[in-house]
Amino acid sequence: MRLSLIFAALLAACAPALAADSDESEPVVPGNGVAQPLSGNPGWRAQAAVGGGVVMINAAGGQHYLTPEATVQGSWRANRLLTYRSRLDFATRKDGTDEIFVENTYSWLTFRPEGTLGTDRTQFVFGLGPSMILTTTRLHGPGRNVHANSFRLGFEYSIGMRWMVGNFPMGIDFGGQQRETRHDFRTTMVFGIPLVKSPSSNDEGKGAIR
Amino acid sequence: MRILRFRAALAAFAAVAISGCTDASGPVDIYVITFDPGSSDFRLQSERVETIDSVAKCKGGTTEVIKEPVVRITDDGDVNFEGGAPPSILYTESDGTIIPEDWDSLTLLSYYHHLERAVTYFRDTLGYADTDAMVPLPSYYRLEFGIDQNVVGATDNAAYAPTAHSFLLFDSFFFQQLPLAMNDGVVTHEFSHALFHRVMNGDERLPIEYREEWGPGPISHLGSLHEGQADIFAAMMLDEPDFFRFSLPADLVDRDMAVDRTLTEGQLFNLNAGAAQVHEIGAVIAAAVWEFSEGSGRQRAAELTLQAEVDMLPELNGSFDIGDFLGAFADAGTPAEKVASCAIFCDRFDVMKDRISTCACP
Repeated sequence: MRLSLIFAALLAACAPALAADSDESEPVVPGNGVAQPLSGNPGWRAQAAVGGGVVMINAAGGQHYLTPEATVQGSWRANRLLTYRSRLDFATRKDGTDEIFVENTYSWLTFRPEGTLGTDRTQFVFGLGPSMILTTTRLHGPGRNVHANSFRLGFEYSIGMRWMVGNFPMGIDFGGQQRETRHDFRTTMVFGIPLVKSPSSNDEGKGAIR
Repeated sequence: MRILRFRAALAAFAAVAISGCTDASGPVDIYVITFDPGSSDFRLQSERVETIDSVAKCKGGTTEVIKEPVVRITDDGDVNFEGGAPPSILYTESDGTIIPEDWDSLTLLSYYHHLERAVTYFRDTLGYADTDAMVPLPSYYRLEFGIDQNVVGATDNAAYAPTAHSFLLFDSFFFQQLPLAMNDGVVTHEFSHALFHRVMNGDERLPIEYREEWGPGPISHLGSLHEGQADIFAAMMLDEPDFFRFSLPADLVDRDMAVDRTLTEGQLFNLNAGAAQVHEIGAVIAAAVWEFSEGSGRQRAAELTLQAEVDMLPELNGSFDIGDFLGAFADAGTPAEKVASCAIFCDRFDVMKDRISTCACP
């Protein structure tokens, strides 16, 4: 008895909504029926960016040590779906005790193509490319220093986002880097300056990137 | 055509990247942290390592380092190690000498050097022929315990596990001094445990005191001797009576052999009751042998310690006590050495002089 009353009350409450829904004559169509591009035009063709983040440097024993890093990047949009990005990342760390320690600086130079998906203002980016890694080492024991440099090849990958704040691009990346038998993880955030502008998508035929 | 070019470029890059994975094998000179008797301190020095087959994996004829194995303690009390992988040592070279590229690589390559040095010391300097049968042995680095496992002592330690015939190396977490794995003395100390186990048990993995179900008193006596003899060999090799001080705080580890130590009534009571602090009693034994070495030489003291361990083997049973070792040590020497050692032992072990029958203590 009570259940049937509750059901009746619910039906009465939902009836106006159901009636209104049936009155909708035009279905909602994304983009008002106009095919949307997979990726938008953020308004720049080339940009330079600087920023920083954290790299988790992989040690011989398997640990990952959190280390701050700085990054300088340059990007060139080949088309709506493809951007070429070069990045130079720099980190330094010191491990050991007061009297015996190791100081390292790492410089990663990477060039990579990356796919771009999204709107004019916000885009999802993903890429992979080869790296060159320069490592400087200073071993310090009491009364003695030993210096060495090494150069290695590796690769870097990441996924991330880039977006526009006014006329200025920003970006964030999450990824990793292989250097010989080690795998580092990193996340960086950058602030960019457009170097070459790209006309907006409303200005098709005037040099806009398709 | 473009695809072919891209593939060719990718293959070329892969070839260069793979060929860039460097490795080297011994004999090779490596910069390691090692004890320098001249300055009585640990120094960064270029040292020859003979037996290493892969510097990149820290693997060779002395030991094979395995990082991050999973440790399981079985219902029988045995310790099992599963999984793990070789470490990823990175290094570069300068003038033919290998330079470890980071702290972890420096620690592990220093450890390899120290263990090889300990093996060489026992085999070539002290003449223990069975040393080669003990190596290579695995060294587990940065053990991973299950959440249901006992993790007490899982940092800031180094140990020999007789049932697995392996070394356990732990991270330095609380003590930010010289890592134990970088300390030649500590590594030799641990290898001395392995060697004493070999002398007493041969290929048997379970120690004799547990195989034959000794009582708590004899187990305590043997445990103290285990620690004492390990301190002795390490100190004699380095010519340094307090090698622990470089790695552990002095208020935590009181093992300086140059300190005059005498066995007390209380310590003897605890020994016989099976409740002794084995490192504390071991320090008394080591200090007595150190005093002997001041007159007879470090190497001779180490030789007599090893000989005493071998000689007391036939009488090793459930009634063992420290006096058996002290007597065997005195008997192993020349008449003059026996007089010298007995004088020290009778003085420092006065509370149990009746157990050092060979010395006829006054």
